[in-house]
Amino acid sequence: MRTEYLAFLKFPVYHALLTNRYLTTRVIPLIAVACVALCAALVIIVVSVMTGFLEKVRGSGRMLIGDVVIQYPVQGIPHYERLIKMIEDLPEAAAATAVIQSGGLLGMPYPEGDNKDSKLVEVWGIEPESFAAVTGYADSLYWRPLDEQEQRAARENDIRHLLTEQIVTDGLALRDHRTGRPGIVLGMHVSDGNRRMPDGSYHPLGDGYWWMPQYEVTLTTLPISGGGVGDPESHIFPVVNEFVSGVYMIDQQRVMIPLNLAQRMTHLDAADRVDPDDPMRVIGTHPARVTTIFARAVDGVSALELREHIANVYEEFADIMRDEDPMTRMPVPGLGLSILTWEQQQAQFIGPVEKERELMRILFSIIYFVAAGLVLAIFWAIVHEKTRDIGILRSIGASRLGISMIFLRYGAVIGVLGAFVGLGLAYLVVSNINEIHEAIGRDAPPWTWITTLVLSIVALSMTIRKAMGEKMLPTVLWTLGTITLGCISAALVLHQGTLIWDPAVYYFAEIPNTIDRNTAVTTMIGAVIFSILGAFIPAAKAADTDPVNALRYE
Amino acid sequence: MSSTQTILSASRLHKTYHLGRVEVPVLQDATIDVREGEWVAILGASGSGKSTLLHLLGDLDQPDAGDGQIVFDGRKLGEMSRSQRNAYRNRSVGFVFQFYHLLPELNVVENTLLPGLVGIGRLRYYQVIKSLRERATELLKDFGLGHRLKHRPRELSGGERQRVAIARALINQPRVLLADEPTGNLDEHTGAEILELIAAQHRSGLSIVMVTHDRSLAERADRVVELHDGRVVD
Ligand SMILES: Nc1ncnc2c1ncn2[C@@H]1O[C@H](COP(=O)(O)OP(=O)(O)O)[C@@H](O)[C@H]1O
Ligand SMILES: [Mg+2]
Repeated sequence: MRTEYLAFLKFPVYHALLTNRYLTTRVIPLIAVACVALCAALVIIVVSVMTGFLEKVRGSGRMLIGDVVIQYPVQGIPHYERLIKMIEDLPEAAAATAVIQSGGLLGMPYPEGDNKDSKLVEVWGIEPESFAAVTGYADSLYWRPLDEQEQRAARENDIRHLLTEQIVTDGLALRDHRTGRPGIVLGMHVSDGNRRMPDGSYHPLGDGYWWMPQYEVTLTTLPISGGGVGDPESHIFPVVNEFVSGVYMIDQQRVMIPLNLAQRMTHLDAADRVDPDDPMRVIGTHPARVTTIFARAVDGVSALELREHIANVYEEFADIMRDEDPMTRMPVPGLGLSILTWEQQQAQFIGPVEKERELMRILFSIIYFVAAGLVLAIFWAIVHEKTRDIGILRSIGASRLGISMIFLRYGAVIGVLGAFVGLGLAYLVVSNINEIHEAIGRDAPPWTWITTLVLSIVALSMTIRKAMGEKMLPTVLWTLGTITLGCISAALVLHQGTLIWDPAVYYFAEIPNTIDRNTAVTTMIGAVIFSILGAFIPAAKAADTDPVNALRYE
Repeated sequence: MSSTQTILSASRLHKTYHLGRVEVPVLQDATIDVREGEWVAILGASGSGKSTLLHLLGDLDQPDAGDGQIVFDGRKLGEMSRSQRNAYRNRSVGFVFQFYHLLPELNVVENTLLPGLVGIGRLRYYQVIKSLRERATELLKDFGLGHRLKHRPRELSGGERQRVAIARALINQPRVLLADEPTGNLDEHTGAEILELIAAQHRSGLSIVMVTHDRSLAERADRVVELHDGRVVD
């Protein structure tokens, strides 16, 4: 008895022999492999893209704003220099930076003539140096000279061939080195002319040739003061660089200017405090303010931990300032002032995407059952067909367990093959997803539909020939082939380029194109397990086959 | 040729098939003794239960509960464990069927050596495969199939298929060959050839139980018994 149940540990060779033969001498198991592969590929592709999307949201959040955000919109946080100093003194904080977040109207240099374009933009006043220490600002500057390798890869008319390090220095300093004037850095898609090329580079096209860093723009803001809107403030900036965050929404509306200018243009700079009863009498100063402070944690400290520390520091800071400057009201956390991690800050965006991904995972997991059902049906048929073989094997001494092991093994092989083919398929699709998307976005090239049309005509003639013969099956197969090819060519003719992934809607310029390793591994394991599960019932049926009945007739 | 020692014996076997509510008694108190090296032919009309008896002897089926028993080399089949029974079918007896029953996906050599692979693990496989393959090839060459080694069963004639089936039955050097109408599906000439092959095995000492409905074939055996009304009579 015991040896019987341990027998499978020996992995008898005849199992392998028969499994191989059953696999290679018929078509059905290949269909099973194809089905399992398609199912696995589908799950891997969908979840990978969703995961990549999430990662991008997360990554971009951190790259754009650091780990922790303190915000007090419109009125701003007074004495912020002191707060930043206190945060930077925290051992958990690596850097902190002050920012003004406001809105404005940007007068563009184009088109030719008097009637220039203008755009609503999100204005960020930053201290470039500390801002770059907290965020990925430095890396996001797009215009920079190419290194040797990039030069070889780049298009001939890529502007970057002509650039020097100076443009990066200017971007990082928000200053035009030629004139010493404060400069502005625009999001890449603020200017309508900038186009993303198929190779991922940017190029000013459109009406004319408006390469922004050669031009000046006029920024106009509406400062808010004393509960009302003040007079508009305008300033002309030379464009010193452009940035690409990869987040389309941001790249099309955000511009960076020096903090002190932003303070002035929003009236958040230091100002005299006058006696309300005697407007001519100065009784002190209103301190300069910023609307936002970003902080970055040192390595090994989580954003949540840093947030805790910063919340404590803020309380301390507010107490000190109430003492030192009783005239200035300090914002209170919870009442307009928020202290959040970058993840919390993006929560209303990340949350739904995360839920959507899990929903997808669950919905698409139904596919496992499809795969298991397919394997079950196919194996049922195979076991049925192999009844006599099973009787023969029993007659030469194979155990019942041995017989069922053949089919379980068979299921496992189909699962493993399917999983790997599926992974390969998913890899092909995911890593080329942007190219595929772009191809879908274009009209089908004529050769595609001409080829399929010719093929369908060939198939049609074969159908007619077969229809005159005796056999039914070839006629049916060729008819199906003709219809399929005909439909494909019709679809190709009618196909109009459609953009499925509109970056304006989907937030990112590019579809995430990396396989999510966890998903790939779990999906592949799932495919194998469910294939084996599908093989279980037929395997048990095989084990129960009565050898005498199986062998009685030819 | 035969000694006086019994190698395989069955006594008081009963077997009844149930077709719905109808009982079909096939074997009623069937008793048979096969001595070491003996060739016994079981003669009987079609439907008399010959195959049924042979299946019981070969442990492909079990007799009805009762005092009937099958004894091989002094050991009762009914008292063997499952794995001992598997081993019994694998090494102690060899089966030859009327319809050859080869595995269509395997070639001639593979079909022949298959019983040698059943029940052995991968480790043992590497130890035995060479000699197993040699023995299979040798047997097949002896049977005039040297030019057919890599062929699939469907590419062979009936006579050739039955030779492969016999080679398979012999690969593990069983003590008893159980043959169920081995020539039943063959023309006279081919049938005679197959019978000659079996006779040759008998001459070299193999015990054989052969079932047939053809008296002239049965006459070739050492002893002929008849199956009548579920009983074996001399
Ligand atoms: N599984 C079964 N169910 C019902 N009847 C059966 C079954 N197997 C055999 N029989 C009947 O038992 C009788 C003996 O069959 P079998 O041993 O094959 O005879 P033989 O080999 O002598 O021709 C026949 O009448 C047959 O119809
Ligand atoms: Mg019969």
